[in-house]
Amino acid sequence: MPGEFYIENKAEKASLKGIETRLTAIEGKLEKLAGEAPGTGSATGDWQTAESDVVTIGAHNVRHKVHSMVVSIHNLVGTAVTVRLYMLVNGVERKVYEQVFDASADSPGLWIINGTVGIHEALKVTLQSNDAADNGQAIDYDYMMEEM
Amino acid sequence: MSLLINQAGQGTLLEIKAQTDKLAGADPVTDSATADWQTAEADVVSIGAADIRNKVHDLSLSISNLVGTVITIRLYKNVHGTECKVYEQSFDASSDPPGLPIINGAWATHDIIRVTLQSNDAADNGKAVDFDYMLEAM
Repeated sequence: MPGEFYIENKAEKASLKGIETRLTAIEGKLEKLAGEAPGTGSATGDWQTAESDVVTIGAHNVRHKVHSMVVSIHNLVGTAVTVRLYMLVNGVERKVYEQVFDASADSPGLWIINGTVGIHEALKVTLQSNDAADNGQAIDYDYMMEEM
Repeated sequence: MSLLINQAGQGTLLEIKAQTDKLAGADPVTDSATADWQTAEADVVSIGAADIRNKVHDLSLSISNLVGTVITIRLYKNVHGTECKVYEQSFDASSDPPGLPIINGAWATHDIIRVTLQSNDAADNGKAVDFDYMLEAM
């Protein structure tokens, strides 16, 4: 009978239902190791007019590991392209990262998160340029997360 | 002793095994590439694959055979379908360590990472550049 097994030598039956329930729980946990579907897309903003959102990843009270975040500025020409990350810290959104790049000299792909960082709040990525020619241009992004 | 676990339970076990087997990582890759590094930037190796999620735990290059004072390593990766340079750093083969730990943490990728090298010294043309990397499928 499903959920039961027979021990030949002892001639007794025991239920495997508890084991199967635990296996299902373990499977659910392990499947998270495969990571979520990678996030890749683009955002368009008037980057010189004002700092604007590129993408927001993660969610409130959901634990994630962020394994990669790459932002591509290959469409921009600004010499001061500022990328910032914001996250709630003790309930208040704070800037947790800021770096300035030069679209005319730096790599077009900006490796913003290139290790693993754990988050349990939304992480907002913004960009700002010093060149009006960047208004209306598309910013590409690519990220990978693993739910914990 | 034999255990009679139903089909769903066996499927679960197989899923668990498949996922935990990945934690051992893929076989490390160690090899070398030869090119005319001064003539033009050239490929050292491409790691990963399109639509396959991997963690890259290590990528080391050896420039022990080179003499250039400006050895430039670059990494390229697709971002929203367009390959772009995501890393560039220059090293001096006469003073920097011969082994370069280019990726020395864990970085996830779901596409190919292409590694290139360029030298400023013609004496480096035709020389071998060694590499070593470790991947873990997610």
